[in-house]
Amino acid sequence: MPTVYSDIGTAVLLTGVFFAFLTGSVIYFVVLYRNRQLKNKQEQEKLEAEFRQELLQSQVEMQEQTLEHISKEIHDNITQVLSFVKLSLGTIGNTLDDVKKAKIYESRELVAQTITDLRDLSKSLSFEHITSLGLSETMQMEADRINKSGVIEVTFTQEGAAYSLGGQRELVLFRIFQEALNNALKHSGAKHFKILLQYHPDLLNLSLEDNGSGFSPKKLDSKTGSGLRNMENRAVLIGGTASIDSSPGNGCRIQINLNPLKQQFINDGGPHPNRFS
Amino acid sequence: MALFAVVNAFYLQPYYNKIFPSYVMIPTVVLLASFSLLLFKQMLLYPVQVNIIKQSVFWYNTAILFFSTTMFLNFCLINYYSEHNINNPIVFYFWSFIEIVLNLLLGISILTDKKSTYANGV
Repeated sequence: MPTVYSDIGTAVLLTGVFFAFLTGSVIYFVVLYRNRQLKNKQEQEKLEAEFRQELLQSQVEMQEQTLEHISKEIHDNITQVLSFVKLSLGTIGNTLDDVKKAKIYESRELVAQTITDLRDLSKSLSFEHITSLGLSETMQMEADRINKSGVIEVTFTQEGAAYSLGGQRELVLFRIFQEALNNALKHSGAKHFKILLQYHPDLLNLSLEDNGSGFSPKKLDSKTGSGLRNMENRAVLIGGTASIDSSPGNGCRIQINLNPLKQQFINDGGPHPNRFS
Repeated sequence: MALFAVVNAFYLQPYYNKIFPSYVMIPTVVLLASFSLLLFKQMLLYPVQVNIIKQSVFWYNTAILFFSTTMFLNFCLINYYSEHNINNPIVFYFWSFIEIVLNLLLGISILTDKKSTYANGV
């Protein structure tokens, strides 16, 4: 009997050890699986982020191509046609009496003004023009152009000595500024738009502020908020950060911070943003 | 294996001699254990983004692995017990325990088998 009991005892012990081993193996597998899941998830997120960057970069390039094309069309076609109209009006004016001559002269002035405005617009759309002049001067020119329209008062302030950030980054910053200005004109009803460009040795700060009606960022739907998200994404694309601060009745303030020494995602080479050219 | 089972039933361990077909059951549980381990390996190589506790296949696989590894020795010795008239109740308690655990795990597998927990077609 003692032998039977000891045999049973041994069997139970061995079985218990075996079950413990089996349970431990299953638990180990579960832990291993969880780790694999986390690793896979991280890799997937990394791939998704890279894809989004690539997509955004492609969108930026396509946009610049389109704007460049429009700029050229305005400069080469529309302003040429208007110049011809101006010349024709000049020719007609010489054959008329004083009253009609005055009207023709007035029309010529309007056409001349239109040609100048279109040339300025063409320059603001052109990548080559923006990168050749630099960010500060381009912004100043754009501010002057908008001020001439009388729709909104734009003040531009620069602090610190200007330095080059590279054509691509300056272009992206300028486009963000254009987008912010466009939003202020279209949506906010602002009367005043302030631009503050601060050049520090290790930080560039661009502040865009309007005194319009403001908005609640949380209440924006996917369509109306996409422009703001685009600004944030573009800032990230060039290695910077964008913060948008607004509330109803308190206007909107957009702050872009950029470390000029930080490696950017867009390759800063070549005169044209189209990588396929 | 199916063919061998037929051959075994008529020639090696004839069914009419009331012999437990251990020659078939032993390789069967070895195969089950192997496939179960292979499936675990597959799950590790291609994890889906669903909590493993909620995956029905995990519980089913655990049940199969558990059953096949624990019953292996039993199947090896069952005919020995029969020939030597060893009627130790502890063997039957053990079998009952294994069956309970097996059915418990299979039950959890069925309960967790929902379409919402499928991911990536798994």
